[in-house]
Amino acid sequence: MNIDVVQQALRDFTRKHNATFQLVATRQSQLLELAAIVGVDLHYRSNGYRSTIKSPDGTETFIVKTSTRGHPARYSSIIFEKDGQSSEAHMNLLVRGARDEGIYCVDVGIVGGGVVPDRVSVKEKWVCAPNAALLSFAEVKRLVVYPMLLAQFIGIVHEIRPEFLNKPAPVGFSRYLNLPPTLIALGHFSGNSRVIVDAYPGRSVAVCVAEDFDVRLALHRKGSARSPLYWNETPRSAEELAAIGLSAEALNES
Amino acid sequence: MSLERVSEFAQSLPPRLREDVVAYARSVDNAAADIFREARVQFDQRLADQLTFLAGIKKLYAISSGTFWILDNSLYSLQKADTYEVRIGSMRISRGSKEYEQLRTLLADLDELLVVQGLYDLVQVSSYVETLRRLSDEH
Repeated sequence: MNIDVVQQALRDFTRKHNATFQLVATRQSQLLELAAIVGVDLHYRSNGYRSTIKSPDGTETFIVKTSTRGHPARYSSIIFEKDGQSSEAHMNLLVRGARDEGIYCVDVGIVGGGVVPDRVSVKEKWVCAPNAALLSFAEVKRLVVYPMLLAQFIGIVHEIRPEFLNKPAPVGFSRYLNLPPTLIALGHFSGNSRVIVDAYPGRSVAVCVAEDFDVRLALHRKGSARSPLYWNETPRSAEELAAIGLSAEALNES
Repeated sequence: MSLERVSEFAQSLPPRLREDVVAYARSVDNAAADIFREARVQFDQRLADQLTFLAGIKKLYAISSGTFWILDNSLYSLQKADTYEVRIGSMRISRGSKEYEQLRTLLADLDELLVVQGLYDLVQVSSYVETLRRLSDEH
């Protein structure tokens, strides 16, 4: 490798694509949050739920909620229906804590159908979804999974859905049913984090940790994953990754 | 020395991305001794510099590749629900939109650059131990 030549080529490349890198820097986190709600949608769809995207004024554009601010009715949500029951996924949803009057914002909040008003009311200000209406949620991080990230996530579960940390775990949540509280990460397990996650079932911690999410999403697209938030029963193989033309390693590090 | 070279090519990047690239290269630089030990390769400063430099490139590739594929896979999945466009703030993005094409071109150009420089395969290697062994074999 001639470092001088490569360095010059990369310098020219980053200069040439300066505007695109600005776009990446500005939108990277928002695109990841979009991918998270898409992942949740695919989980439900792959488990037999009928899913419908609901956007303001019936537009066919998916309107991403990018911050805690704003009435959820002004943004797109996804409705899941199965066996006469419905639920909804909303981005950056404000929800009441389980233990006090604190309000938290989850990246993707899944609530019972009709809980979140689908119109903005001038009479009644939207504050947050009541805790009892929160079925589950997903948090997404542009990071590898490391022990303190897991501790932070479990802390969030403790504050807003502590039932998932106790025995018996809430019924109706699994890889084949409703999504339990889920941590979505772009990175792989680092250090001893896999050991911690592997011990969760024995500790009655009923959560889902979806590491390598970008790889999972790509695998799902190629039809090789049931829910992108759970690996197939058989572990993915190098051939499986190669077949989709992905550099899993490179994606993982972003 | 290689960290300076990484900083130099990353100079035109927005601050956050530049920090990501340089910090990642630094973390590999800090782990160099361990990587050499695990690879059973005798420490060589020139090889270590190449490894650090390559780490910066890998991070740049991860940023470019990850952003495009996350978007492309999301749009693909939304299409199944008859939704062909996404609005994020003031930006409207769909397959074929200006921003989509920008991200696609970014990745395609970087792929081409790496192929021309003979680094494409090396950038795809997941393990730094294996990367070092390959660099050592070329040395």
